Amino acid sequence: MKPDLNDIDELLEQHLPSASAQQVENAGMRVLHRLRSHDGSEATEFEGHLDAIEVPVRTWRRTVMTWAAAAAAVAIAIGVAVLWRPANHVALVTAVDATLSRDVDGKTETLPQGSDLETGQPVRTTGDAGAVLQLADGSSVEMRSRSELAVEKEVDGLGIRLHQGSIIVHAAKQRNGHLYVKTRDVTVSVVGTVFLVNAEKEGSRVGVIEGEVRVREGDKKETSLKPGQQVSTNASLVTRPLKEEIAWSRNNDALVRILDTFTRGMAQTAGPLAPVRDQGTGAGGQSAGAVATPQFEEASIRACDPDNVPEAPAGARGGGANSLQMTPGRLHALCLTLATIVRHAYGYGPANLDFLNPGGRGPGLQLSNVYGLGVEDGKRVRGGPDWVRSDHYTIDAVAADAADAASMMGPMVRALLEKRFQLKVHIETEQLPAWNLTIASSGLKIKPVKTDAVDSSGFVHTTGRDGGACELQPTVGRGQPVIVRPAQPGERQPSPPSTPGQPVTILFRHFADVRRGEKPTCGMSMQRNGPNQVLVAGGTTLEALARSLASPLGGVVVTDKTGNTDKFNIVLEFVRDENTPGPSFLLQRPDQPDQPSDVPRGQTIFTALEEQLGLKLEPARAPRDFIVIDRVERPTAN
Amino acid sequence: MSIAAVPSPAGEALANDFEELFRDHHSLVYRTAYSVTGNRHDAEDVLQTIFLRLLRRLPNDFDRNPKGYLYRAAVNLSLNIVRSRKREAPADGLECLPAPVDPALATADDPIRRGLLDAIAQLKPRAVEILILHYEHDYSDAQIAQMLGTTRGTIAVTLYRTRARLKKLLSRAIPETQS
Repeated sequence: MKPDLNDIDELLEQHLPSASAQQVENAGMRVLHRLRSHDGSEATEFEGHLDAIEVPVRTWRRTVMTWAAAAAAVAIAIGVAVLWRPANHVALVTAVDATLSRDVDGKTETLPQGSDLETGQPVRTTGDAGAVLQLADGSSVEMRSRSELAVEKEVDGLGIRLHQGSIIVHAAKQRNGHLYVKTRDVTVSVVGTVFLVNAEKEGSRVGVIEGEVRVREGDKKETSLKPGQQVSTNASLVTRPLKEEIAWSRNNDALVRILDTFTRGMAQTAGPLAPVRDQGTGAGGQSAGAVATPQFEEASIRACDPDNVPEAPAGARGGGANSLQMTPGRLHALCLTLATIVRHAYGYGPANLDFLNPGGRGPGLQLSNVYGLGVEDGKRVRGGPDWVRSDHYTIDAVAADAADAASMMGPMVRALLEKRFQLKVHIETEQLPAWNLTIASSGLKIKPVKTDAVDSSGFVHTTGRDGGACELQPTVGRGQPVIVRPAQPGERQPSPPSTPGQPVTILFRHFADVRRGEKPTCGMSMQRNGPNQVLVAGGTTLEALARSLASPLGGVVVTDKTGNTDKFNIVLEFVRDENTPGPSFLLQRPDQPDQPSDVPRGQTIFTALEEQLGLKLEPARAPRDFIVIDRVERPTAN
Repeated sequence: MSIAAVPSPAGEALANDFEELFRDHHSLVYRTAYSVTGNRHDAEDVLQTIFLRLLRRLPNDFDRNPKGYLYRAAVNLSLNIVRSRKREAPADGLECLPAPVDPALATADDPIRRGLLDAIAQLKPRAVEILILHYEHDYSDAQIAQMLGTTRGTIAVTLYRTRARLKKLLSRAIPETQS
C-alpha cells in the first residue's frame, strides 16, 4: 500500500533518516581522531569528492570577528580543556559505561565522566562495560571491562601502564614526544595509530588496527607491526583473529572498517601468533612481519564440456558461461577461460567493457550480483598455451570466513591459481596505437544543450564525472535483470517493477525519433540501422563520447583533446567496416528484428565524426598494461 | 592534541580552535549527511572530507558564516555522493549487470525511505538545505532564513514548493507494496 502522500510532513517525520546521538558521538570521535593523525600530505579515499563540493558564495555580511576568536570566547570543549589542566593531570574521563574507580587513601573512589586522572594513578573498570579516557596529548584510550591501567608522564611523552585487561588506543599524532603502552613484559611505542594491547597473566598481546607500532620485549630488538598483525609474548595464548579481539569495543564497527581498509588482501592475523621473543631470529614460529596470503579453504576446479556450455537465463545478461557470483566467503565462476579469470584476479574489469574504464580497471565486483565477465581476448592477458584462452573452467571456492569480494576476486583467487595452475605472471607496459579526439578545422558542428533538452524520465540524471551518463533509479537495485532496448515512438520509460527479480526495462529513444525532434534519452546507446551503427547520446560530454568511441574502434584508447566540457545531444551514424571491429551488440527495436536491407552504407567513422559533428580522430599512442603468463599448467586434481 | 602541522591561513592559532570548531559543528554536518545519504558510512565520509578540506585550506569567506558554510558543504557533498553511487547504464554492452540472486537483499530496506532518499536526491541543493534544516534539525523558518541569508518568505515558499515536488517524485518512486 502506498503511503499517504497528502501528508508529506508525516512521511518525512517518519521516514527521513535521523542519526542517533550515540551514532553522532561515535562518528565524531572517529573522524576527529583521523583528522588529528592527518599530516596534510597524504591523499585520502574521499578526496575525489572534494572538488565536487560547491558552496555558494554568501552575500551576507556581519561584524568581523573571526571564528577562531569567537570560538575561544564560548564554552570550552573537553578536548581543549585537557590542555589547560594542572601539570600533574594527564587524562580526562570522557565516557563511563560501567564503574570506573581508583583507590585513594585506602578507599575506593568512583570516577564519573569528566574526572581528571593524575600521573601514575591506577584506575580500573568493573562490571560488564568499559570506559574511555582522553589523554593530554589528544590520544584516546578505550578500556575494556575488568581492566586496570595508570597514565604516567614519561621523559619524552606519556606512558600507559596496563596492569590487566585490554585497551584500544587511538594515538594522536605525536609532534614532539612519544606515547608508550607498557605491560608487565612488553613496551609499545607509537606515533599516531590505533592498536590493541591486552595484558593477561600468561603474557601480553598487541594487535594493530591502523598505522604502525613498535613492540619491544625487555631488552630485545624492536618489532614493527602493521595493520592486521598481532604478536604475543607467550605462544600459549589463544589465537584469535584481531576482529574478534576488538569485538568488545563500543566502536567495533568503525574499527573493523578501518581494519578492513588496511588489511584488504591480507590475512586478518599474521597466522599463528608468534612470541615476540622469537621474532627476528626466525625461530619458534612465524615472524610477526610475515603476512599470510589469504586462501580459500576448499576449491573445486572442473573443466566445462565445450559442447554444453550453459547459456544465460532469458532476459538477463550474466548467469550463463563466463559469469561469476560471490557471496560472503564463497565464489562461483561458471565456465570461464583461465585468461578471463587471470584478468579479473589482477584487478581488471570485464573484458568487453575494458574500454569504458580508465586503465581497464573497473569499479570492482560486489557480493551477491551475478556478473557476465566477457571473454579475455588478448586485451590484457598475454602468453601461455592456447588452452588458456580456449578451455573453460568452473570454479567453486569456499573461504574459512566471510571474506569480502575484493579479497576473494584478488589475492585469494591469485593464490588459488598459483597453487592449482602453477601460475606465474608479470606485468608489462607497452605504448600502443591510440586516438585523440580533436575539433576538426571546420569547427564544431553541434551545439551545447541544457538539461531540459534531454529525456531523463525514469533516470536520475547526473552531472557527475561521466558527463551525461544516466543513472538508474535506486529502486533498480540488486537482484533485478535489466533489459535495454530502443523505445517505440512515444513510448515512455516504464516504472521499475516492485517485485524483486522482475526484469527492469530501460528504454533509449530511437535514433529516428531523435532525428524527428524528440529528446534523446540521457546517456548513450549504440543502435543498429542496417549496415550502420548509430550512436545516440543525450546530454553527453565529448570526453564521454571519446571513451564510447573506443568500443567500435576495437577497444583502443580514445582521449578527449578537444578541451570542451559542454554537453551535447548527438546522433552519429557510421558504417560498420574494418575501421570499427568493436563489439557488434547494438540495440534494435523488437518490431524490427531484422536489419532493413534498403539502408545505404553510411560514412566511415572518421568521415562521420568530421562531417556530422565537426570532430576528428588523430593518431596517437597510449600506454597499456598487460599481464604476461610466464608459467602455467593444467589444474591439479581437486 | 595539536593539528597545527597543516599549513593554513590561520596559522598556528588554528589547531585548538579547529578542534573546537569540529566539536561545535560535527553533529550538524553528520546529521545532515545522514539524512541525505541514509547511510552512516557515507555520512562519516562527508564529515571527514569537509573538515579535512578545511584543514588543508580555509576558504577566504569562511569566517563570515562557518555554520552556514559547513551546512551547505554537507548538503552538497552528500548529494554528490548519493548521485554518483547510483548504478550507471554503460554506453553499450551492459554485460556487467546483476541478475536475480537473493530477493531478501532487495526487500531489506524500507521502500518508502528509499523512495524518499531518491526523491531528495533529485531536488535542488537549496531545497534540500531548507528541507533538512526544517525536518531534521527542527529549525523555524526564521532560523533557516537567518542561517542561509535570505528571508522568511523565501523559505516558506521554497518549503511549500519542495513538498509539492516531493509528492510528485514520491508518487513515481515508491512502488505499490503488499499491505
